[in-house]
Amino acid sequence: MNAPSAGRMTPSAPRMFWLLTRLRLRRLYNLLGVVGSLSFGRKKKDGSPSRSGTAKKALTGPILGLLMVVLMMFTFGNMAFQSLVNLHDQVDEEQALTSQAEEAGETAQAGEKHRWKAMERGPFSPQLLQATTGLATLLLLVTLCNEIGARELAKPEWDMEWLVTLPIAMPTLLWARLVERTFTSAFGLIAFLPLCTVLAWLSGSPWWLSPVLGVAMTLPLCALAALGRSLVDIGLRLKLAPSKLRNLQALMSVLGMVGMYLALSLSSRGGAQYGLHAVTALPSWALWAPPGLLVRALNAADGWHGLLFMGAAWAQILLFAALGVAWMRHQLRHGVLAGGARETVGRAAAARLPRAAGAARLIKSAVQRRELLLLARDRNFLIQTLLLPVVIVGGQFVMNSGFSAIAGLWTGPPALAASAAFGVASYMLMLSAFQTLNNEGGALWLLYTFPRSIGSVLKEKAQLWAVLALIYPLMILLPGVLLRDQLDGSYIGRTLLAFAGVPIYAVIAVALAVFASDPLAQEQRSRVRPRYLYLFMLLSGFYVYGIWAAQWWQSLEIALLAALLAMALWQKASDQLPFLLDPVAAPPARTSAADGLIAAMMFLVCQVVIAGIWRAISPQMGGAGLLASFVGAGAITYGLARLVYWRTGTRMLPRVLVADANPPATWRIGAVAGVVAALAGLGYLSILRHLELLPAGQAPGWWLAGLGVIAAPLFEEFIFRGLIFGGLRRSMRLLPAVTASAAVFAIVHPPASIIPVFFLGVCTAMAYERSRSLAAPMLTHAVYNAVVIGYQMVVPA
Amino acid sequence: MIDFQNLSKRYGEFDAVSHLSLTVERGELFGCLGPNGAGKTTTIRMMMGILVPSAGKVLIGGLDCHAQRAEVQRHVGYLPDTPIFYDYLRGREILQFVAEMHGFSRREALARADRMLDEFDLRDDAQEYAVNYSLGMKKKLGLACALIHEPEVLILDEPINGLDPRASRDVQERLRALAAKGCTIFVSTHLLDMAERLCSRTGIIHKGRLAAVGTPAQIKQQLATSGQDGSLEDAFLQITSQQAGDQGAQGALP
Repeated sequence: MNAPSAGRMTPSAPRMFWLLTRLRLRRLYNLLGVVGSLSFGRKKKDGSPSRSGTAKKALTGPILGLLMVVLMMFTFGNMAFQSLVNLHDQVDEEQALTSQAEEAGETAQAGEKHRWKAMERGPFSPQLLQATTGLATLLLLVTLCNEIGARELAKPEWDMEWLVTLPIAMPTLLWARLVERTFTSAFGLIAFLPLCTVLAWLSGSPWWLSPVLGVAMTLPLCALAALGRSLVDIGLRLKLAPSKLRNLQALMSVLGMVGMYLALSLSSRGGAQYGLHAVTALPSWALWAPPGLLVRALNAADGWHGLLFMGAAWAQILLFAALGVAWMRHQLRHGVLAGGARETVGRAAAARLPRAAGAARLIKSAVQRRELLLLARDRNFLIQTLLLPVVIVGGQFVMNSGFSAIAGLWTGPPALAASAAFGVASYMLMLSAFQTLNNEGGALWLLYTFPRSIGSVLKEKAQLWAVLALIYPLMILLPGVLLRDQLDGSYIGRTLLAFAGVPIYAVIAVALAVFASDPLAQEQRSRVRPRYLYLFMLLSGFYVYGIWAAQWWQSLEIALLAALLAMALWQKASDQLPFLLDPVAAPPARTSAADGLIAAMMFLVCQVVIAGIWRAISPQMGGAGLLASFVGAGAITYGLARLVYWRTGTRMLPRVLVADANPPATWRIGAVAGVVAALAGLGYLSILRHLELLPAGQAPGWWLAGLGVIAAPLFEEFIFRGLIFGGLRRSMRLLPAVTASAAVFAIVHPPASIIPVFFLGVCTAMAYERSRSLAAPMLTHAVYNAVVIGYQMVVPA
Repeated sequence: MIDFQNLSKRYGEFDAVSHLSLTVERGELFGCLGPNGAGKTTTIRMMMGILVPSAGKVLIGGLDCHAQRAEVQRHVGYLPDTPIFYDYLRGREILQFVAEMHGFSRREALARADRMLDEFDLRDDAQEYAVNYSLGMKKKLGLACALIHEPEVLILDEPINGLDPRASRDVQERLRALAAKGCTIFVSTHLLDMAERLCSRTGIIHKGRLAAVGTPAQIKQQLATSGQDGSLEDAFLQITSQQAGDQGAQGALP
């Protein structure tokens, strides 16, 4: 071999380390930028040319990412501080108690004195040192598990194949990998840095030195985590079969989550003692392992001792790393890739397959069978959908109240069990049904080649997920039926409500998934637009509020609204489907029932708010205040709706003046309907007056009456008849659409007037249907309002 | 059979496809040639309803590809240029799924899948997860998926790209046999010798416009330096080297 030409020498080992680390960091920076800019949900459907390359990212992306990191550090720092204080209180108090009890007989008093002794900065007691080492070790294990579980173990690291072709010797490459992973472990940084900084400060370091010491301690811990991770994914990957690797990965992700909960539970005061038991169960020799040495280094009495401990820790770590690298070299001696690490099932097993397939004969839909098959094979997906919701929700319980709280589910208020059941199901839907389009991944094109609408495929998927998600409410609520002493209507009612909510929210999840997913996005992370995720969580919260509602009819109302919203969202999503894979086209913006329902919800909220303000200003709230709140809410909602439609360029809005309308006919229809509704309203009012059930209060003045007759119909008809009824009518027959829109209209009015308002809703809907112009229902509504308000003004209460 | 009516696709200021008008008769093997980035894949995606035309439309068998997509797919088989399949499904399961989604009963789908596996010589790898297939095997699987329901129209996006010579020859033989049986085939490719050998008619797309259309012989005649017995390659290079300002279907034959 000739000597390398002048000016070109093989880079030295430290330079390799630096180059590889820098590469990784740059990639991370780019990633943060992408995630940051896309988490605002900026749709890419503006007219940018498609071949302009990746646009120069605005600086907002990385800045946002940085802000989030800083915020997280702060939060975790707080939690670390709290954890250490709690540990101190638990561990030192026990010690103090026992020692006092041995000394004197007045145990109670002495115990009291020590119990409230606050944590002082300075050297820790041996027990506290042990507990802190336990915490550090726990965090190390959590970091390790999470990092292994978060990545695809069965596939080799994306760059290993490629880096091996560069002129680097294998040991150098492995060491470089360790160094690179030490410095780029985001999880490790977030897990260790706050704890170490707080530990340094609590051990008596001045505030300006603590972060430095924190970093000094974080690095060796990250190095340990990097070593563990490399051992598994470089060393073990060649030894185990791919399916075993996937099992290992799934196990690691679950363990990581459990460990995280244990660590987090330490920071809450009244929390269960599991975390405490975990960290105090450390054997005493662990104080001489690297985490223990590092803790002692920070807590040392003076600088020299600290340096001594730190040096010992590093020496140990370097020894482990050398051994690890040697082992990995041995594993990789035959090459970086295993010879065809394939999933091939043997011939014998192949024969068994048709018989197993026969069991799936019950499920008729090919889509659902395929989904189940994928679920069974993709361990990560399986864990995420079926196991994780239980772990998370259960973890909340365990963390805060211990296992006894779970038994309390069934003996407590029925709404608790029902809302827990619905919450778990909804969480599971968020992780699975919400990802339906993303799970297709790059194979979405295949769905476009079938003679079936994508909507029907999604519908089948929604069915499957609804059934799967029902498992949780069943498991949670059925034992309650058996275990409760008295089975009252309330429990059964809320149970049914929780069960009914699952298919409704499966539909909502799949419909929102169509809006939330961006199948053209390259980066896996940015495939889901977060704001739709938050919307789904908000809507689920809405339903939980419904489960907890005091009156049964309120719960029913909310369930009805949710069901309507599900249908409306589905309609809107169906409009969107043909345009999914097209980066520039979007469906022509049209009004839909979903818009109307959201407007109705806003109307409800505005009305409550304005009524509250009115009551605060003039406590004597009566018909006048109610009227004002309605008119105000109507005006705000109408204004906002108009604004949104103007901005999005929506066409085919409900119109007052229709081109081919026949004005006299329109007025006639409106007047007739108005008279009918008004008569019904009058009848209702007189019955109420006869039964002396009329609510008291000042009669509305003339100007308010004028508002009620002129302004209110204008706004409300646009929303309830134009948007809601019009949108529903597009996909339903007349009678259901009329009933549904009238029901929604009635729900947002105060309970006393639900019945006549429902009737009014029916009349106005029929008027709109007949005349196709908003003028008719407006007239109807005006007549009704005039009669009813006039009655209230003329006839004394 | 396939009717392009002034089809256009615009991304902001950039015209990916502009004013494409063309008719492909039943039973023709039509080759769509063009340099990289000319708009072939965009055109094909508009035919499959994956992209929405900015203007104009394309009809297959008289049905609009965007508005009546599901109906059109009944008669169409499609092979994309880089077929991606589901991670954890085996080749045979994917074929079965595709057959069932096209409306065949479970038993029929199983039988068809088996037949396709044998025909395309995929039996040895049928048990393997599709994500582990090589590119050639993926294209074979994709072609099997496209043919499993015996469509009347076949739309292929660069089918030979990345195949070894034997596989490439197999595919070309298969296409010829299908065309002989009356199947209408629309192939996009930039391999000119295949186009010359196989296609009954070819069209050259350049910067989104149809620069030339006709049988290979007719296109060769358009060579400016007439009298020279040029190859299709020369004609292609000449036609596609014209400047962007030189628009219009130059000497396009119906």
